[in-house]
Amino acid sequence: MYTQAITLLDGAMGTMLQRAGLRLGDRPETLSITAPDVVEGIQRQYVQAGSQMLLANTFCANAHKLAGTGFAVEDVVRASVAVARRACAGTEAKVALDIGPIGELLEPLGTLRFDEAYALFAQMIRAGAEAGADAVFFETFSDLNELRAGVLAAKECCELPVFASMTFEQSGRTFLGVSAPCAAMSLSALGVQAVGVNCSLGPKEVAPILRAMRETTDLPLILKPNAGLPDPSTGAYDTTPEEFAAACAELTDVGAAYIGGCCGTSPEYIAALRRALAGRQAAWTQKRVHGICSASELCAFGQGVRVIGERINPTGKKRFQQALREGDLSYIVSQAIEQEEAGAQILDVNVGLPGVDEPEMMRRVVTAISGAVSLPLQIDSSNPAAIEAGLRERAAAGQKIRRSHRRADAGGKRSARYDAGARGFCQKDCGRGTAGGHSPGGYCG
Amino acid sequence: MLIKMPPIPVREALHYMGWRGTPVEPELLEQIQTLIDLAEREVQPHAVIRRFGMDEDGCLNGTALIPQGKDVCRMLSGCHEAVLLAATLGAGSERMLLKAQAKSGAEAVLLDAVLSAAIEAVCDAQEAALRDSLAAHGLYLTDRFSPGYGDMPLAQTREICAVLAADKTIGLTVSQSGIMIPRKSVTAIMGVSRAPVSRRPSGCAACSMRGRCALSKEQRPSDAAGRQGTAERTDS
Repeated sequence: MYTQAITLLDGAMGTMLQRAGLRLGDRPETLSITAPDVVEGIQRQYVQAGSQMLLANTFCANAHKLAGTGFAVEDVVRASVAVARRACAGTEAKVALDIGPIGELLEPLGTLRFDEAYALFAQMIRAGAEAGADAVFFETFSDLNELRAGVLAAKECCELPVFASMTFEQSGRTFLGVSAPCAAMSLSALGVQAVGVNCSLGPKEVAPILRAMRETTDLPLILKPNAGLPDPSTGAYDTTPEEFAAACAELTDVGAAYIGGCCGTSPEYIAALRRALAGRQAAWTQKRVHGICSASELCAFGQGVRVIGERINPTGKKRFQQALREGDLSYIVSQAIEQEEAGAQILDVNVGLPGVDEPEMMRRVVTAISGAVSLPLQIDSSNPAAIEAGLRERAAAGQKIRRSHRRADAGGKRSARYDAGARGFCQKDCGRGTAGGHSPGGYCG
Repeated sequence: MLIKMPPIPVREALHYMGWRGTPVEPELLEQIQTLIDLAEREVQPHAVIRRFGMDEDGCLNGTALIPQGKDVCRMLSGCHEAVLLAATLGAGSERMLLKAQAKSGAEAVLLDAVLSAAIEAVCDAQEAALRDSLAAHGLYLTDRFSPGYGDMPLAQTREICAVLAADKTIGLTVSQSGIMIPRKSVTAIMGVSRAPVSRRPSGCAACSMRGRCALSKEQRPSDAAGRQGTAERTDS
């Protein structure tokens, strides 16, 4: 059993600014420079209502979304953190750098490369850390791979605690088909402080999604719903502050420990939350499900035999070797599709061939396959750089390490960074036997 | 908002393949129908639609958006409200295309045409529903007009998506080069009037792409049924 004191987050900024006259389509982040008193006034209201962590007015302050505004990322971030700091003056409230999606889809569905997304997030994070933010808070993400780029940038560019929240439809999946259990499993593996759900839905609709997240993580959960569902014609939200707070309070029993409001909420909602959460703490039990996942599919272990398709491997396959040499990703993806359609539950990916740049090919193949096939992948290589290339850009995968045990150690370290499960296979001549599994089913962690 | 996938007309899919009324082999029609059935089953379209008052300059109230171009302004003249629509077939449709491209180039071409017909069917359904609900209040709706039609700049796609917060509300993004992703997506503007409006005020006859447009409705056959060798499913 885990317990934790509850941290009250803040509420909506965008809808509050719209009430104060911000036009739809304008960038609220620039108001931190052009009208800081307006932003500070709203944030001070949240602090007075009980917020213990303010999210700085930096949600869309990435270089792509600020393009054409005449404002630089560093200036907006610095000004926004300073405004939030002033709003917290005289209190213990913390200020988090708020980071939302870049606004473009990553490869292979879109055109944005993972390393480009990483660089855009890193730019914000460095500026936020320099400006004195206390944490990095990612929210409203639909694309798990984009969010992973951000979390990795935060873990690698600063020492601040990282929070990661995604937004889901009522179906329990995001627009990109990411499921709550997969999101929780993958993000927990990257070492975030907490994972959770925000936006799109009210607390009643979020409840089953948060409970699904609890299945695959031991971390405290973030709960930041909208003020109910909006009326399609008027845009007004349908949940009162008291109804909102009561519904959120129930979810402390599943470990919701960072609680606030998203679109349509206001300081009244935060005040209602403070009243409803008085004397409560977050409490939850250990996760029940272990396994590996892609962004949209979970392969749970301990439930019988799991079928791994191993045909993506050049050994003894002339056509496959030709495809690797020619960079014929369509053929390789077609092999993945065939195995998925034949019932494979995990796909092994091995692209090691003399003359082929294995790390770059692994990156390209894993990216291409994940666009067409939703199965978790098993990265099969004895090259540590190739292993990292396979694990870095995609949601947590399994990893199979062949060859000598010495090389398996290097691969093991890489997998630990992404907390991917690992299976080790030793050659006969390494003196340690013909096969080494780490646990039943062969995966550790 | 998630919406129900409306039926996809075979004729529209054929149109997006460049069909000009020539006989179509039954095997091809069957292939197209299989893909239509797949799309109707699997695709999860989303749409967002909002009404805005307009000021004298044509600026939509509460936004900085002013529709550009003589053609769309002509359509909106006489209207007291503008409606913005954004619709997408979603990331699942993009994955379907990637899968088809990996398996078979020919199937990918057919699926692309089917999905183009699908997003138009989604927009037609949204437009029809709005037209009916406005009619109940004695109001009239123009046709829809998208950035890139006539002289409306394509760049206004990004503005429409920003006003509707399309990335947050329906998962529709615009790339750095201005392409909507998922690719099977549409943004459009319509006008609301208190007086009857003429539909398609200009049509193909006055369009700047006349004579150069592969998808011109002027070149569409009115009815290919009865042609020898044609096996055509009757659309319901």
